[in-house]
Amino acid sequence: MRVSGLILPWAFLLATALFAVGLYWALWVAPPDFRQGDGARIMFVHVPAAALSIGVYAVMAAASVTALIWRHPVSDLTAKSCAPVGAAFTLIALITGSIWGKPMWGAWWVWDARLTAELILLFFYLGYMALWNAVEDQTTAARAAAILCCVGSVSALLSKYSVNFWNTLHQPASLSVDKAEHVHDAFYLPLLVMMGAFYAYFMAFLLLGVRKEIRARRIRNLRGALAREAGA
Amino acid sequence: MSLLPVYDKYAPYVWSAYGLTALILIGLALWLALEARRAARTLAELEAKQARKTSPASAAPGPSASAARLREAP
Repeated sequence: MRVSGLILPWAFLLATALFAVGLYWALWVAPPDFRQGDGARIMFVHVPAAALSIGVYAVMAAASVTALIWRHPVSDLTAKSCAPVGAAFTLIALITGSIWGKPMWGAWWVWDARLTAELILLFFYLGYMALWNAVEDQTTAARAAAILCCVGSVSALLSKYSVNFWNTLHQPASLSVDKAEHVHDAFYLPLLVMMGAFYAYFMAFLLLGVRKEIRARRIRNLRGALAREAGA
Repeated sequence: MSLLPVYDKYAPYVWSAYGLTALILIGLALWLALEARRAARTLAELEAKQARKTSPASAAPGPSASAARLREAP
């Protein structure tokens, strides 16, 4: 708790600074795309949100596996804290994708493999959060939610690799380790800054969420102890 | 350079995408911050309550216990 308390303000500061730089670069400095014009600027929020929607799910799945196998006391709380942020990123990816799709594809929504997999991923995030809230006993809730999270990993993988598996309407990845495959530097650099901003936002709210969940666990234990004392 | 850039026919799409993203991220941030603050306050209250119950002042009646009760009195 002490270490996370020290890191937290810096994570917030980093996220704010990266968002400020990234938004200025994306909205004012980056040139319009030669084919998509200014509509391509939606990429700077859509791509990081979509990438992080899968990335956060990977963190959540790793924490769930750790909770199931090694029963580490904080891993299930880490997975639980990832869920609202991941769901928000998935929702942003779907909304901005839909808004971008209208002028480019002529439709707000198509049942394309990537889009459908992303929608199913959102349902897994929502189902995961609902499961935690639906089960009274927190140990049982943690176990059931961890199993559901592992099952949902298939959807996250499908969302990531659907553009490689099938011939979809959705374009291939905008970011790649191979320089020849990713977008031009004029878009690539502000995109990297926005990716950093989304990552910093995730880190900050993951830390805040885990701290909150540790306190919530202590509250439940203390309430139980006080109730037992009152009953004795 | 104008304060807000002009994107011609794409302006409604670009601004609505950025606006909704900001709304979701800021909304989530506020909700999580308020929840974290509420949890911290509730825990502090419960810890104080438990400390009062387990303190020697309340466990053993005597002059110190009376003083503690007096301090708690409204």
